[in-house]
Amino acid sequence: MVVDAVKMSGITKSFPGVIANHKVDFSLRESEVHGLLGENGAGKTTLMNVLYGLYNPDEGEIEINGKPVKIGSSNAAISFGIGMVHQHFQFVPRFTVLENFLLGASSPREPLLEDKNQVSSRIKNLSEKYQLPVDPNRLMWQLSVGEQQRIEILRALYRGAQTLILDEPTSVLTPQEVIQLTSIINALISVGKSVIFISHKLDEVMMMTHRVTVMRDGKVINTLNTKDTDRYELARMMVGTDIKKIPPREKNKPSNKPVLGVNALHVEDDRGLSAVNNVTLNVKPGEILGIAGVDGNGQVELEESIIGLRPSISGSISLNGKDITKASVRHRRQTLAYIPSDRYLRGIIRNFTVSENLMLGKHLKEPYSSHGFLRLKEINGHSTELVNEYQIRTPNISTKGGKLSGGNAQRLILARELSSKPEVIVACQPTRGLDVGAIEFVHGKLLEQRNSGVGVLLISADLDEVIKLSDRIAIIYQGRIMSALITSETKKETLGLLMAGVSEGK
Amino acid sequence: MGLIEKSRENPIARNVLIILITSLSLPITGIIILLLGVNPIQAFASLLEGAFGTMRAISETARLATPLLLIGLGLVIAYRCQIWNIGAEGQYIAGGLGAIWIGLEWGGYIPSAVIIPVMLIMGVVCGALWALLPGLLKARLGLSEIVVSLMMNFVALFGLAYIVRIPLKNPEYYLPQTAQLDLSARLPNLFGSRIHIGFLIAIACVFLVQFILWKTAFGYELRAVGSNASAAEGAGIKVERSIVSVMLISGAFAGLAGAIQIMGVYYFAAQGFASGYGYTAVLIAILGQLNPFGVLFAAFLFAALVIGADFMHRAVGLEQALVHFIQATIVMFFLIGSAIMRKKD
Amino acid sequence: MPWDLLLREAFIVSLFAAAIRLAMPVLLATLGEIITELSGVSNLGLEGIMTIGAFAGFAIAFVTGNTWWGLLASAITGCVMGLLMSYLSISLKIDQFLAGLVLVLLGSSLGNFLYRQIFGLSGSPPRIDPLPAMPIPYLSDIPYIGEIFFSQSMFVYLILPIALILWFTINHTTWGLKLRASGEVPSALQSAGTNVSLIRYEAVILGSALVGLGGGFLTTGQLGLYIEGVIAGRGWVALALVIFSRWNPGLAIIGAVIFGTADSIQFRLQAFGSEIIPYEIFLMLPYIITILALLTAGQRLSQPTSLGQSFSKEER
Repeated sequence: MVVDAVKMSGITKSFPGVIANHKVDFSLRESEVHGLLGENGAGKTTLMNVLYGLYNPDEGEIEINGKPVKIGSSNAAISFGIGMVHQHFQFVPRFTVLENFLLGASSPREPLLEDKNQVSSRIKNLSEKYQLPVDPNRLMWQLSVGEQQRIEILRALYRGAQTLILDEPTSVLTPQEVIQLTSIINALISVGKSVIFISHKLDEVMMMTHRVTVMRDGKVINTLNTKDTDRYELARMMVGTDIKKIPPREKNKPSNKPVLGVNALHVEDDRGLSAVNNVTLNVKPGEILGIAGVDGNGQVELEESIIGLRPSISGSISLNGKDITKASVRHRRQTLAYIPSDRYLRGIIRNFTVSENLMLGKHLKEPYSSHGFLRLKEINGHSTELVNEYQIRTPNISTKGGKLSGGNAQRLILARELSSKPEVIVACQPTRGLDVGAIEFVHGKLLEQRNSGVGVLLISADLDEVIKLSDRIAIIYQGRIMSALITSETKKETLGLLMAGVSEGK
Repeated sequence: MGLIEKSRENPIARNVLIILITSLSLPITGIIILLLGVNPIQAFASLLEGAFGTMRAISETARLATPLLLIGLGLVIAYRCQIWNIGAEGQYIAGGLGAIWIGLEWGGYIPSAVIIPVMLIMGVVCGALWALLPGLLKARLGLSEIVVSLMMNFVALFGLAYIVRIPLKNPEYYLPQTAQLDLSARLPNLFGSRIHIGFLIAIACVFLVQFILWKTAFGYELRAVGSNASAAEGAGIKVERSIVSVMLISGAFAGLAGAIQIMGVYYFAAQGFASGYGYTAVLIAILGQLNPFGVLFAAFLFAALVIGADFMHRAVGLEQALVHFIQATIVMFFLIGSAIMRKKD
Repeated sequence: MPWDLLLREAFIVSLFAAAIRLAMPVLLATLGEIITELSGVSNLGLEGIMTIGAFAGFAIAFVTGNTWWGLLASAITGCVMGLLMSYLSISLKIDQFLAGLVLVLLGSSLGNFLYRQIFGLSGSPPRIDPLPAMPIPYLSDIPYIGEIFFSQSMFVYLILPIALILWFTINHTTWGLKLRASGEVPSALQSAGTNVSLIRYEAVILGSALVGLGGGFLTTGQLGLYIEGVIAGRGWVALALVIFSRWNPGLAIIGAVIFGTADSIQFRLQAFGSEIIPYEIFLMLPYIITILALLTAGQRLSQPTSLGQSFSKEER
């Protein structure tokens, strides 16, 4: 019997409030490319972090080449031949390629660094062996992201990796670079290495893997030979086929004048790469437009450019027909409510009291202040009202925002944003990390606003949520809108396919 | 230690422990005193007596506390916005120079009731202007306000040396210093004591800063930017404007302190005018926990130590410089205590 | 204004010889702070460390009668201050800006206090013999260059090798690589298996030793005495020079020599009582240049990426 290169049995790992992995079995054969497929929060990265020694599992065992091992740190994982290329690279941009290789490697002539020529030639040998062209003397920050990734792979190989874990490797690559990556992976397995390929993209998984394991909600749904399955089956496994009852919604007379319009918008991310690519969409009053997509496909940049926190390269944004592309955040927020995707970064000030948080953004207006002076009695009165109306659980209105639970913090944000009678709401990942009660509350409020004529742009990685709430759905993938469909006429697995990059009719 | 963990949660226990750790500066200083052959108890007692024993001592303390308090209050505003203005020394000098220039030009030609407010305003304006460059460079270009404001201190310092040596030099004296202010351009004293009205201005500013911080929309915005600039930005607050504003205001306070010192204490300017108040005030602002009343307490504490040092020197023969060491250890242990008791979140 | 005096060779030669001499204390401090900042820690306490180092150097040299023991004492004093700074800013994670300012006051006050308390104040302060000039045979006879570069004290000759050793350590040893990684992306260094806090402790202590040595050299090796305010802002100049030299030891030498030249010019202008060219301009020069350097290059381009930020081992 051929022994598995890696075998994980019964792995359970939980964090406060969530079970990230539940009795997961996973095995990897020699010379195999094994895809690990699932949506956000499915548990794939957690499982691999366990394998790479970053987390200790609560239960379960790991065997490498048949021998049971305990992996207590990433150094231990490396010693067992496991290498990982993270989504966020771990190198020093200002160093040369060579210097990054030297980091972490021990030198035979301590305290001096190893002879640069020797290291250089070792790197070149590896580079030829695996067809990863690399110039050891270039500075890391000058390289393209694809080249940087190749170097991260080489670094893992340099330290003796037999099993290589690639976490969402293609999310940062151009199509050409994806092809290059494919040949690199082929070169690796042809010499007996094994690759675990974490992804949410169906096409790539179908193309590059021998076997695929689908995870959902912390559990393994199934492990199949890739050639025995197809995209549709995988999509079904990824998102599930249960259809939750869509709550009855009032018939709204849709006016044709959009309250929020985005036209041919191009936005770059912090690295200067295209994140939002020619996006056009509009939200009408009294409707919820849901934009579903896995994290990292441009949602944050889209969110930031609509609010005014990130400049756009080209295209326009309009509110009620008026162009606001260059308008300040303050100007947009007069009529636009914002529920940020990162609650504690953009939404709440931890050091401020509940009361102070409730007036953030409205502190210049009546009744909170007049002529620049704060009116404490009115502020306290209003805060108390809002706390009651939105059932924010807090000892009192002077409690610091950082002490509130996630659900209550979100209620606070909703209370603040919705009570100012906005015309548009931009709600991003509004129920991330919340308990069931808080989720229901948030959904109820968003529907309530929609029913009273407010236009809502909902950006979420939770497909169930998007289906439940939206009148129309669009899918965002790699910065592009894949399509905008009427919810009631769409099947969940179609959406799953779109989120994973497979467009209709392909 | 379990005790420390538990105390973190209870605000009263937290503060008690911080005070206890802060007071470790006493035994540490005591050991050094002992090693030098002096009885520490006697030394500290003489310090206390020198600071509070006579009415004159108390009024001297009030005089010394005035500039420290004013500068510290201005720093509170900047630090609460996370703008680490270290240029108060230069802003103080700029304010003092501005005031004395006006005073020497027009002193005696314009009635007191006019020239004094004008000089004070000039101090405020010059101090604020000296803080403008670091503020702008930080807001627009993200350059460190610590480095730029620090560099400006030295430009001001040497500028002062030049101005008192040549343009404003008093021709009757050999040493480089300006002429004395006309009597009408000096700050009047209170009820025949040695305390000038600048002291009252400083006390009033304590309430002013408290008011600004907590009762105005401007104060709300600067606190928001200091606590979480991203959230402030997302809510529409103009962060750049806050940055420049708080630099200007803290410069204004330091400049006012400089003007008041010239007009109420020295009556002329010379190189020694810059005596490190700008740096001491940073420590006072921190010790006061960025709270105007805390700064009031800390400023008086530091001033009392300095005033008491003269008597201590006469009584037990310890050099006055020791109190600066005491000041430094107080702040150091305070920082240590605060760090240990910081909640882990 | 005796312009003709200025243009005489002897004057120019002595100007530059003095410039080299004046540059040394600041250079040591700058080199030390470069090491500290490369690791990611910004130590504002230089003025205080130089002061206490100056005192310790003088006191020990006075007591033992040997200048070199004094210099050693100043370096050790610097180490102790560095240990304190490390504890405050790395272990306790106190804001580096605050910890540094505390150190300034601590060092200055302790140095001045101990000097006055032990040596008292008098019209003629106690003196020790500074390091004598040691002209190098043959080389010091070269016209102009000989007097400027090769007629200095022994310690000055040592400084160039020190700078070279530092440059080599930073760029060609494992420790140096880890040092730079610690200041750039400490999480990458942590992932590679190194204890970031330990490297930073080492860097701060080593750096502070050099800073203390800089102060000690000023009093013990050059002036032969200690007075209050002897450091006269050189600690702050060093902070400016670190930025000006883009954290590069070689450029630090150039920056320090520029400072020394400006200092030397300023002394002589003072002596001539010049009114047309205020000597204060030369005193301001290092600081103005630093602001300009920041503006043109932009601090971000050369400063260690993680400078000033505390690092905690992340656990999820």
